[in-house]
Amino acid sequence: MIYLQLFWAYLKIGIFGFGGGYAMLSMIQFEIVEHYQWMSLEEFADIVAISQMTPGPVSINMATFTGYTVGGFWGSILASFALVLPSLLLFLIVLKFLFKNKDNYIVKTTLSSMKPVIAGLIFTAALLMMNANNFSDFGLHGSNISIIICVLTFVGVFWAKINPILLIIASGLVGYFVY
Amino acid sequence: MRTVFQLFFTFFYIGAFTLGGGYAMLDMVERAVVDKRRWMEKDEFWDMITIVQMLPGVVAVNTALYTGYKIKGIRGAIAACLGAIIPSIVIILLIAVLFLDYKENPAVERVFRGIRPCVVALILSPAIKMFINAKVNWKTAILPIATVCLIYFLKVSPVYIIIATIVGSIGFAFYSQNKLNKSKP
Repeated sequence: MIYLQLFWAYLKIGIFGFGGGYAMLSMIQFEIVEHYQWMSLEEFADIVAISQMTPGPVSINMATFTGYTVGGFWGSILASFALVLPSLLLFLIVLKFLFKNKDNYIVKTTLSSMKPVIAGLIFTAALLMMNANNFSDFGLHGSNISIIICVLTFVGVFWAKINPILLIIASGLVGYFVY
Repeated sequence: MRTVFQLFFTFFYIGAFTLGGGYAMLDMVERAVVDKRRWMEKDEFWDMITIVQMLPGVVAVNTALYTGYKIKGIRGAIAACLGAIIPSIVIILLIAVLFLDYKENPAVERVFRGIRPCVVALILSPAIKMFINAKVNWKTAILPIATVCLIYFLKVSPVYIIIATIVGSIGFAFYSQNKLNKSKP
């Protein structure tokens, strides 16, 4: 039963995963954490960090990792397979059409008007993760290290364009020495 | 058959050695597919990237599927796709086994306490970039706000929101095309 749920969850993400890796991440979060409640938000955050730091596409890494946590070896294979299966099928049908019509007004307008919603989708993923467990020292003894890490990371990745992997390593080191 | 193996190993190599996924990877794919293997011209490569970004699913996988299909049909597509995902699966499985054993370790727990707020910021950043890229104004701001409320408070699945958005966006596209045509003399 759990395999069927895992397969279905990732199949849906594969079919409707518009807008790239982070949009898919928010869909994975919803299915795995909110809907099936297979793991907590802080376990999910750990998996996101590890998937970012490991070679290969982040969403495949996430599918494999969450699949393994939920259903062991076969769970991980099933989750990754379910994620790419729709691409394999859809692709042959849609690709020829899109290649011919990529400058078509309807195609372009449809895709660009989806962007505000995808922005909201990704924003919600971040919002959901701003909880007491991910900001573990918030409000304790006036210590706000986690807030400082979050703000500095945002400045680093958004304005200074620092490689996210370096920021994850730096935050891990801060955590190791401070907590 | 040789080309099928080449497709597999080209994407296997890319999957095994590119960190950060997505866009960091494109540069490496371009070098392999355009410069080294000469499977397609530069123009076609970037056309392909434009198109695979429109499609749902993993950009790296879609790129592998397209390249493989173009060179060797269905067999090529499957070989390239497997090449792109197998390194991820193997590496993550090894790490997952270790991580589940060690995550209770106090030192590991301290490291991840530092990392979790960092991850929140790493997700916040592409969200803000997407807001800017989508040129959200006072009128369209209702869309992301409604999305946030529906998921965060009402726990509506993003899948339904995406379906509604696709339908709405296609409708809007036809509507604005009609208006455009009518306004022409």
